[in-house]
Amino acid sequence: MPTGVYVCHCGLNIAGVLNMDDLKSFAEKLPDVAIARDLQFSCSDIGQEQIHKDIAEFKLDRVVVAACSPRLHEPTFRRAISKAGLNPYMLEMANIREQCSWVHMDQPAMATEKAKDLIAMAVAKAALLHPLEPESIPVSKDVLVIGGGVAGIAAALDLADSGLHVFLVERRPTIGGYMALLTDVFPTNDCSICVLGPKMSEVYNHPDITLITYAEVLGVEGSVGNFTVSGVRQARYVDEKLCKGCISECSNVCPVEVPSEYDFGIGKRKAIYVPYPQAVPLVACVDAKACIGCTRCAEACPAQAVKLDQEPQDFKLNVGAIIVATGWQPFDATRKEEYGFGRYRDVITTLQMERMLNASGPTKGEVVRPSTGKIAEKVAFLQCVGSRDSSVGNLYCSRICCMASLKNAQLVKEKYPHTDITIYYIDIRACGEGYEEFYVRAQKLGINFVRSRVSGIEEVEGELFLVFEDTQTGEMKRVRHDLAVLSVGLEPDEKADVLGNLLGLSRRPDRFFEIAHPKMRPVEAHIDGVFIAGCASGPKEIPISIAQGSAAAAKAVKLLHKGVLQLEPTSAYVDPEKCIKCKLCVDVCPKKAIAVKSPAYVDEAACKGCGSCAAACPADAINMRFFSDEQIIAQVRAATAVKREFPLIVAFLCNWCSYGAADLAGTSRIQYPTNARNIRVMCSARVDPSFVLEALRRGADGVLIAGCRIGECHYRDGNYQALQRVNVLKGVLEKIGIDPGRVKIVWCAASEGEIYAKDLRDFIGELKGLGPIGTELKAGKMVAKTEEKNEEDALA
Amino acid sequence: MMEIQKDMDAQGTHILAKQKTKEREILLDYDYKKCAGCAICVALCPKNALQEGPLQEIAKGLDAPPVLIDLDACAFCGMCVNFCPTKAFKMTVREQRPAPEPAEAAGSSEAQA
Repeated sequence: MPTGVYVCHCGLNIAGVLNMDDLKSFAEKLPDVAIARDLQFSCSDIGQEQIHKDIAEFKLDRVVVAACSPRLHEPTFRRAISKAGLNPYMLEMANIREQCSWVHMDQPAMATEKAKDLIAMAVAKAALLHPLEPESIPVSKDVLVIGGGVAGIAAALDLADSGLHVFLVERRPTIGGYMALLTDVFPTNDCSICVLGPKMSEVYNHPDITLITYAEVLGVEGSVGNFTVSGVRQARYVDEKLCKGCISECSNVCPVEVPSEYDFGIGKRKAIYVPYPQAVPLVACVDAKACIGCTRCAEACPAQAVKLDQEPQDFKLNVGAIIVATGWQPFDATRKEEYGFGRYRDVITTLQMERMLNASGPTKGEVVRPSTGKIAEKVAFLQCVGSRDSSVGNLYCSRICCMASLKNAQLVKEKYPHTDITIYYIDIRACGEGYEEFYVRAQKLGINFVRSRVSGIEEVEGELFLVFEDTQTGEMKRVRHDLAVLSVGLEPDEKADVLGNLLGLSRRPDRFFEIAHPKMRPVEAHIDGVFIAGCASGPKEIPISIAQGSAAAAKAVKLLHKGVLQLEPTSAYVDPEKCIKCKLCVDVCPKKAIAVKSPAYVDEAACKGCGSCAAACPADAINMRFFSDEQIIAQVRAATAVKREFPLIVAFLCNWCSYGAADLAGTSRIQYPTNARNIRVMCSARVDPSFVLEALRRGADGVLIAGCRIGECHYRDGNYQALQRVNVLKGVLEKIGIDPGRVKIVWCAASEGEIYAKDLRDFIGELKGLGPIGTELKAGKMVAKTEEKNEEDALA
Repeated sequence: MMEIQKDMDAQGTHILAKQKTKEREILLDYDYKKCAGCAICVALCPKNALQEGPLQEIAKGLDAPPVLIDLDACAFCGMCVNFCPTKAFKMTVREQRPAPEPAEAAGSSEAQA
């Protein structure tokens, strides 16, 4: 089995740290290696051509590429070798960039030694590779869009126009999101609902869109191509088919008034209401929390549409892809107590200002002081309320608030030219097409700009005073205003948490949903078949949200339009001769892919290759096609063949989170010691206790198992299974006299490179305290020689 | 908009509040002799239409209702009726569907036939 080994320089990314000549000559001497080369950029056309030529010349039947993370370029090299006639699965990669050169920049010699182990491990695994043929499965061509704001609307329309059927689920009684509530929008000051309204009704009337409003998603099962989504439609107590959308017959007679969430508290609505005149669907809704059950509305409705006995309805959908467009929520301004929002009536938020300026809003477009109802003559806008503020935990810039205040200030100035308007800002961020010009226009209109972060607002005898330091003059000032508008920032919608957990989405430190790659994959989630659009992944302007909605739609079309999906042939399979029909595998399988029909049988289309069954099987009757027991054992043996440093750690990292975290530590250049030899497995539950024992027996000083955070496993509960196995294993180790501290299980999300590095550093420290493997056996006076022999037998 | 007519009347110890809409007549009958003055209804009325009367004087013998009804505010939702521990409130609803017009009735019977 002639193997080709390619050690990539990656420019200086790898060659700048590791000794390439040393690695190349090391690789040449490994068993079965027919040719070893170092390539400048192995992923480039020249690099791929070299591999192509060698496959023909040296009759290679398998290839090892020591370069970046397989999560990045495995598909590239699989394509490259399949062009040269090899089966794409005859490739193994050694990750010597993200998990070596980038994280050990200041210890080149040790990093080179580690890279040798990684290459030897990859060559050992490659020797045991088998050609695999991918399978295809039929997929649903329906798409679920969650969230009916502007991003969700854009996605739904593009999908439906491309011929896919869309289910648009919205939590509120109407679609439209926040954009439907805004007055004019920057930088053109055109009316918001005038451009959004037609899109909203297009959604309602589109034959390929099923609109499900006032509903929530409660369960998601399955995976890319075949998700089963369950949810509940709240009772709106109004029959959608009968309601004529006359808006006021029912609400006029309703005796209950509550603050309207669509006016952010400055307007009122009834217990039965239509959110706003352009709502879609234009159907009234009863607020069950406010209704007192007088039934006047039912009597007043000329269409007899009010059905107070309506019940919530469950729904179930089968979809191939899911687009998450759950949007944002405004920062709760009461958290900035110094501004007195909620205590002083004349302190309002941007969104309340938007509603006041809106001609169909609660004040019919008049900008008034809520305390007196008179037109405000001296208006202040306070920027960065809840943004760029570590005291409330929001370090990020919310991107749209500067422009929103510039716009609102201009609208006020145009309506009331004599109004004295001041914007208190830290920096004006006006980067976008036409934004800077918009800023200049505001200045020309006579709006004042004061560079300052206001330290507090005081109310004395009904008058507001802003206290601040003008940072351009250094003076402390106290200035009276009629109205103070807090430019509140954007936060992720907290009600989307449930959905994030259901789908297994990870979050960035700013709490917005994390996309698969911060630059290259802006609308893809870490989970296959799930896309994120709009403010769910961070604050964005309207055009960018629309662009992301369309981009997510395009991705979903690309995924589903053929109606079939190629599966990774990485599934489990059963050796029927060995199976003892214990059904342990059925219990651990998160995909319900195994049935025991004497013997066990794996549904390979449903199997996602986590390998938990293979680890659980007491008879070793289940094996994996790609991460096979033999391959992993070969990696363990190669990692421990030469003990190049102390403590030597064999680490098993799950493909989805912890391997991603280790890669992220690399891209973030987080430096940590070189002791770990990482083995990629699909799930922490793949780690068979025999792998751990093999590593310890061969001289590894410790074994680290890293999985997704508890509750976030990509195979539902694989990490719980791993934890349980490790706990049992620790008990066994203790009994045979080996310190159970030599096996450690940790959790890190793909976003937690720093946590992975810290866990590893901690473990190295603990192992240094324990000493080399076997120290405890020599030290243990209680352990008799005979028992020691038993232990060796037990380990073997 | 649907018209809502209200009026209030007193008969002996009964205070009768009435709401008339197009299809029904609701009668809220408050018999203050039965009322213990616990004011549970005052606390739970969603419209704040009920108020405590001069309880101390009533305790000393004044003949007056312990709870006062604000007819304008009352929505005739019936919560006071449901929660009153002494059943001092009673509510009767009389549905009075307007009789179908002769022409319409004939039309519909024809359609059925």
